[in-house]
Amino acid sequence: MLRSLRYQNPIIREHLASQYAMGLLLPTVKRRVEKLMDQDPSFAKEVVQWQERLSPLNDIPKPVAAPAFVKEQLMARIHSNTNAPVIRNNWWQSLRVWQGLVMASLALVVVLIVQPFNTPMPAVAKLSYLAVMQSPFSQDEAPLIISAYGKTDNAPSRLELRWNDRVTAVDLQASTLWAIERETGNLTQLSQLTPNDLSIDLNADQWSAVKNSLELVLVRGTEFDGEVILRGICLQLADWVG
Amino acid sequence: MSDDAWKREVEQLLAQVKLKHQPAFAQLYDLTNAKLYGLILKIIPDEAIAADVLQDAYSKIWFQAEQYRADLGSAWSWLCQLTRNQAIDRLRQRNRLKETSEDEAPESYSADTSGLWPEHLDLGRCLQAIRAEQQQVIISAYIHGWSHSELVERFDAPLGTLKSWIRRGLKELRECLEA
Repeated sequence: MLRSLRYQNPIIREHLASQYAMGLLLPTVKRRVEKLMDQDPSFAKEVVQWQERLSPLNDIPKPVAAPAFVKEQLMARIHSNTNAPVIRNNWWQSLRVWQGLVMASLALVVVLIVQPFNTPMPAVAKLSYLAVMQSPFSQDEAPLIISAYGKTDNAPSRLELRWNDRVTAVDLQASTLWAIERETGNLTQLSQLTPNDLSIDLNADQWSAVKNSLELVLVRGTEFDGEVILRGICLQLADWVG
Repeated sequence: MSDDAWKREVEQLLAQVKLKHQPAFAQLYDLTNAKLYGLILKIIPDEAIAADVLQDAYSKIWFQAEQYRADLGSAWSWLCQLTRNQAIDRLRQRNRLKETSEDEAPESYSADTSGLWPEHLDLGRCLQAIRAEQQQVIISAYIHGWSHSELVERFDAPLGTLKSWIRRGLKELRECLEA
């Protein structure tokens, strides 16, 4: 941690922030400044303020269309990285995918066993989709599982939220759940959440959005450009055989 | 499209890129690549290397979009800083003076007559208010990504003097912009 008193000095902070925005820092100092930005939000804000002040200078160079191959290679690169399994640095990290699948399987088993005894509904709703919600910034276990149940004669379609007891719950105050459509990337707002939400009823459009979603994303605030808190691929579950 | 509308569109597309929406990323690329490539070419005149840097920069934009904070600053500034950092890092890895003409004089930038500031009257006015050498060094360092030692050579001034021009110039700019 960069807790040196030196970095608390407003003159030094101002100097580092402005020099960072100018691009004048030596590589070692630049790395330290970036670390400080990660750890100290008020310093990160000072840097951004300098970037904003100097931003009009970015309009000085004349635009030059980039060679066509850049876009082709770039799209291929991000496409393969998005779809390919992520290469992990060590064996423990490589277990993360399996941890998620095990969690999802356990949740599925628990839900299927417990549901018939707990539910007040006469007809059993079918668990059709499942999203293991993971923080984009954490390597820890997934803290939340969202299950999607189809409607029955007596109850609408719904999402159920279940926390992982081994992980500290994430604050969902003033957050919004979105579904990203698989083909188009269109966004559908499913619900604005409060910390006590465990079940969310869905209308037909929302259910359709869940059915066709690639991913569910929990975002801070009511707009989709807020901080991403948790996200998870929406899995479609096959029926039990036999 | 007005500058404001253009920046709003960049903002909206980056918000979708944060959610890993590939079509939005392709649109963001189409909308911004010429400006960012132009920025990089000022720092790295070699077109092949600049294209490579551009690809790395957009790759970072895709993979690190979640780090962008809309509540702190504009999407366009974030894209420019990320791209400039990428170009400057590449520049520092190479011996820049070997790539460009050694007797290349600093390009002259004018804050009052160039017409560069139609959308940014405040910065133009404030750049005009500071001393000419401060103005030239700040703009040259920013646009070309020159290090202190490169600025010393190109402006033929002692290191201490140059650092002082930049430090004082930035301080006066900030005071002028906040006045």
